[in-house]
Amino acid sequence: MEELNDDELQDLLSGDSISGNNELSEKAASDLLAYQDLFSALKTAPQTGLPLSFAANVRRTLQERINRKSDMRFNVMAVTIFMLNLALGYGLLQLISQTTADLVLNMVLKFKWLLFSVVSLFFCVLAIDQRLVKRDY
Amino acid sequence: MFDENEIIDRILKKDLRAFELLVKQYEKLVFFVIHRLVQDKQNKEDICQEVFIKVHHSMPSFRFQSKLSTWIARIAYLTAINYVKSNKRNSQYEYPENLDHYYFSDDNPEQVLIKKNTADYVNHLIEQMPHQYKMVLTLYHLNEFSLAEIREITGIPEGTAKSYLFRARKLLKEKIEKDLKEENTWKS
Repeated sequence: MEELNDDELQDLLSGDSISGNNELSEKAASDLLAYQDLFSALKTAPQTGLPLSFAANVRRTLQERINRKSDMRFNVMAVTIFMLNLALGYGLLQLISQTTADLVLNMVLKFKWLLFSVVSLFFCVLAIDQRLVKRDY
Repeated sequence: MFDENEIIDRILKKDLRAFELLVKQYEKLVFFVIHRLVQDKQNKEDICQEVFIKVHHSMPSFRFQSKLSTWIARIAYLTAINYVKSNKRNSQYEYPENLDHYYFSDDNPEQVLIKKNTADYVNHLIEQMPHQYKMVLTLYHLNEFSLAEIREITGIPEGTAKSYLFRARKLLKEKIEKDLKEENTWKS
C-alpha cells in the first residue's frame, strides 16, 4: 500500500483502533502510531491553569467597575443638580427682590473661592468615601 | 445542568451570579486560547479576565447566530492577537512570511531537558510555531472545535485551516521522530 495522504490519515485516526488494520504498509502503520501518540499529547491540557477563585475574581472586578461607573454618574448628577439649584435660587430671588438677588450675587462673587473650595471638598470626600467603603458582593 | 439560554437571560437582567457560572463554564476554553498565544506568564490571568469582561459588555449584542462557546473563543482569540501584536517586539521567535517555509530550529539545552515528557515537549515545540499553527492545533485538538467553527473563530478559511493543521502535525511528528532517532543513535 502507498503512503497515506492527510485525509486518509485523518479518517483512520478518527476511528477507534488502528492496531488491527492489516492492510496498511509497515511505513503507514508506523506513521499512524506516531500520529496517534501525537494526538494524545495534543489533547493533554496545560499543567498550569487559572486559580480556583478565578470566576469569583472576575465577578468582583466586574462589580467594582459597574459600581465605579454608577458612582461617577451619581457624582455628575449631584454637581448638575447643585448648579441648577443655585441658578434656580438666584432666579427666584430676582423675581421676589432684585436688590436681595444682587446682594447675594455680590456675596457669592466675593467669597467665590471659599464657596468653590467647600463644594470641591464635599465632592472629594464623597469620591474618597465611594472608593474606600467596602461593599459586599 | 448549564442552560445557555437561561444563563444569558439572567446575565442580561444584570445577575452577576449567573455571569460567574458562565465564567466557570468557559474559563478553560479561554485559558487554552490565551495560554497558547501569550508567552508572558504573568499576564495570562489578567488577559483571561479582560476577555470575560468584554464578553459581559458584548452580551447584549449576542444574537445566537453561533454557539456561545464559538463566540467566546472568538473574543478570546481577538484579544490574544491584539496583545501579541502590541507586544511583538518581545517575541522570542521569528517566522517566515510564507508559513510553508517554516521549520523547527535545532535543539537548545532547554529543549533537550523537556524531551523526557512527550506532552511537555509537544507543548514546547508548539510554543515555537507561528500563531496560526498554534491556534488551529489548540482549537481543534484541545478545545475540540470543528474546522467550520475554527473559521468562525479565527476567520481562517476552512481549507487553509485544514492545511495548517496537517502541516503543523506533520512538522511535529517529523521533529519528534528525528529526535527519537538521534536519541537511539546516541544510546547505541
